[in-house]
Parts: sequence; structure tokens; C-alpha cells
Amino acid sequence: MEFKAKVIQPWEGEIRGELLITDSKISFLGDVDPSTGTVVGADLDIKGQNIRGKILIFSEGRGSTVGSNVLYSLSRSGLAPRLIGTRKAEPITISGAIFGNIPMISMLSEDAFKELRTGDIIRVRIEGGEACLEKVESRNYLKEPFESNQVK
Amino acid sequence: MFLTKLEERILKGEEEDVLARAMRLLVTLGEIQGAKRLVPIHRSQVAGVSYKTAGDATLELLEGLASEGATARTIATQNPAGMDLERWAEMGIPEGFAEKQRRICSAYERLGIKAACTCTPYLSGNRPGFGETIGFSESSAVAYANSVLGARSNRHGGLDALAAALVGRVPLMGYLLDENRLGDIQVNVECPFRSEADYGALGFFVGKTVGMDEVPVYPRFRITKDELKLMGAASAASGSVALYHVLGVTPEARTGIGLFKKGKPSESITFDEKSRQSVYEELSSQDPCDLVALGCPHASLREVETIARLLRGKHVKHGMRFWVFSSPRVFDEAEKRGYLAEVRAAGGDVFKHTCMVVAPLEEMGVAGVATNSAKAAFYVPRMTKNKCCAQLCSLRDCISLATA
Repeated sequence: MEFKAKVIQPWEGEIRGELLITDSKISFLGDVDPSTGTVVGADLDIKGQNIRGKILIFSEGRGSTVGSNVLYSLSRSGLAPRLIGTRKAEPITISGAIFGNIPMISMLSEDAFKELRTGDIIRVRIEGGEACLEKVESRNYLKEPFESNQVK
Repeated sequence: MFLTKLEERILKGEEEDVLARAMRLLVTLGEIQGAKRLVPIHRSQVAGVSYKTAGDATLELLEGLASEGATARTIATQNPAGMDLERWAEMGIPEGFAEKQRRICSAYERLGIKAACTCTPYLSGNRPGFGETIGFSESSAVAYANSVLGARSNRHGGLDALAAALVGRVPLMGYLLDENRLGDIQVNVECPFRSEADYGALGFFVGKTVGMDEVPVYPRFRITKDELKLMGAASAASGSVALYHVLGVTPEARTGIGLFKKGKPSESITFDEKSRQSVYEELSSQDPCDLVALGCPHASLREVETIARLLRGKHVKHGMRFWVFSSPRVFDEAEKRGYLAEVRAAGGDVFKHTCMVVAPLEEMGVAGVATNSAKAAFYVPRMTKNKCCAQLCSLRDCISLATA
């Protein structure tokens, strides 16, 4: 299954990584711990997960305008996501992505949010000025311990 | 995007390299969002000042820019820092933090961005006028400037507000355009306001519910400037509301005629008793609090006066701290009028340059905060990695809690 998206901050070549996806809005100030990259926002379903190196997909940015500085800071510390994907591209997220040199896409469809699951392996490349995102491998439930029974 | 000859030269680095980078960021942001050109600005509010939130990365960036001789071309003010720049030791701020914080504020000053260190620049000498195009970051200040003052600002990140201040321009897009300032969502309010904190609860609910770029329209109800300040800050924190209208109150909604895009609301949402309760539940904590923190956004002179009056004849009990955060201008005037002395006589204190959201509470021995600001109640647990809890309650309840 392939999903198209708009390129916000372009990159070279192909990006491949593990997906961390949520339907919620994220504020990089407050919802993410800048010293570890762990999601700490109490109302988020991905709370406890770490964003470092992940393909991080969320609905849109929210909250503090300093989120751009935090995203920049995460990038400098090597804790930034590998790529950011959103439904709508909120300016604070965009400026953090640009300053931090983090690849970013937006205008992801509802289908993407329905079909993709945290843990899936995703491949993203730019083709004809658009981003193409596809699932390479599904999350392997069989490899997980019994305790982890997350749907997303 | 159309660029003037000067703007082209700046982009190519033929003016200064720093300006080239700032221009590149603005042009990229503008092009992504379909701006046709840049427009000049004369006022900026720059967030990313507290060492706690901006960190070493921003500090390095700023000292680099300052050493390259970059200067803001606008009237520019800093957002709150992580401490009172003069009385940080009294707040319990560790010395290592203070040293880094001092360097950040000093670097911004060298860039021409003044250390008013307040989220209420409009109460502290940097007040935009109706229709004035500005480049503000600080979500609560953007909301206030757009909605209450009728100025025009997009929701700039701390970094691109800095870029805009250096270049003196912003992309012509978003809330700078008439058509984007019209209302989208009709908000229905079906419960009475019991205190000023309820306005924040309403804003918090609306912010969570509406989407990015959607302009909520509140019905005609009684609301003061201070309550608008609380309400706007809340919806800018729980969501990303940059502009809202209150029928008959805010300058662009005086008559309500032609208020909505497409002539009518695209959607209606209702805030009732159940919604209010759910907000208070989300912004509550079972753990005891040891700090009452008021002034998010920074307290106005009127708010400090009210607090001083309500504290008369009372005393903050042992083990509690009672802090009010404000801007330097309000602090100085409050001092002249004797409000400061009254708050201190009751065992409380007023600080400037900082607030309970961006000060490192978890390093200052604070366990729990009671506040009348929905924005603060939302951020404090997140900002302290859940070491510090927070609860939303009215000013009067905060006073009872602190002095009973």
C-alpha cells in the first residue's frame, strides 16, 4: 500500500525506519522529553514511546511556539525523529524541522492513519516532487511479549 | 514567491550571511504555505528564552548570531526566562542554570531583543495596534494580539520569530489575510461562568476540539481583558488557536455581520457543565500542592491589585509558597502603588521575567501547583516530567488553599 504526501522539508534518497504513529496533536514542548526523546504527554496514546530515529506521524502540531526550538534541540542532540509526517503542517513544527534539518511530509491521507500501525517498517522517498510512503513490513506481533497488547 | 531586489540580495548572502539564513527560513516557510511575497514588520515577540526550554542548542545558536553582529530590525521583546533575572537565588534556582540563563538573555539583548522577558509584551511596552502586521511567537501573545487587539500575526515558532525580527519581514499568508480571519466554528456556551478560571477551561476545551487554522467564534458574553488573556492562552496551548472572536466584544466581531467564512459556521461545538467538569478533571491532581502560582499569562496591574486585595488580613500558611508572575512594567507600577508590599505582608511574593511553566520547578523543590490558569495547569506536569502536579481552580480557591 502506497500513500502520497506533500514534501515540506526535502531530503536525499530513501528513508527507511520504524513507525510511531498517533492520531493526536503533539507539542514538542511539553509532550516530548527533550533530554531523552520520550513522549511524556499524559493524554497521548503513544506516551512512553521514544521518537529517536523513528518515522513519527501525528495529526498536527499544537501548543507552544517554543516547540520549534525543542525540535531543533532534539536534532542537535541526536534525538530527533528520522522523519516527521502530519495531516496538516503547522508552522511551529515546520520551522523546527527546517532548523533541525529533519525531513518532513504532510497532507497524509485518512487511509494512512487507518492502515498503518506503530511498529510497522516504513519506506519514504521523493518522486516527482511528491513523497511516497509505503509499508515494507508489518509490525511483528509474534515477536512481542504477552504484556504488550497495544493496538497501535 | 516574489522577492524584491533587496530581498534577493539578502537571500544570496550578499548582505550578511546571518540574514541569508534567516531569509531562507522565511522564504521556505512562506513558499510551503503559499505566500506570494514578504511584508515588513515593526514588532516582534521572540520565544525560546528560558534555558529550560530552549536549552544549550538555542544558547549556542544565539551566541553565534550575536558574535556575527546580527541585529533585530524591529521593536523586539523576549519571552519569559527560566528565572527572575535579579532575584533568581530567592526562587531557589540552581547556580548552573542561572549562569546559562543569563547568557541566553544577554545574547538576545545583543541581538536587539529586549529582556522584558514577558509573555505579555502588549502590557510591557510592545503593544501592536489594530490592523498592524507583526511577527509574534508565544502562542498566548499571538492569540491576544490577533483577537483582542485586532493586530495581524501568524503563529511563529521561536526560531522563525527570531528570523523575522532579524530580517524585518514575514511571509504574507495565514492570519495576515482578511479571508483567513473570518470565523469557522460557532461555540455555544451552556453553563454559567463561576470564576475567571472557567474562561480558561472554556478556552482549553475549544483549543482541543477545533483544528489548526480554524477560527472559533464565541457568543456574546461578559468577559474582561484579563479573562480574554486566560481564555486565549488556554486554547493556544491545548490546540493551536491563533485567532478567535467574541461576538460584540473583540474588535473584528463588533457587529457579527459577515463574521463567518462562507457566510455561516462550518460547525458548532457546545461547552456545557459536562465539558467543564471534564476539563477540571483533566487539569486536577489528587496530590497536595505546595505552591500557588498565578500570572499565566503574566498578571496585569489589575490582577495584581485584586490579588493584593484578596490577601488582606490573611497569611500564607507554613509550607506553602504563593507566587505571582508578572512583567517588569507591571511589577514596577505594582510596587509604586503598594500592591507588592501587601502581597508580601501576607507572605506571598511577586516575580518578574519568568513563570511557573518555564522555570525549573522540579529543581526548586516544588511538588504541586495550584493555579487559576488552564494553560499553566496543562503544562506544569508535562514540563516537569510529571514530577510536579498541577490543579486548576479559581483565584479565590487558590487564596483559600494557601491561607486556610
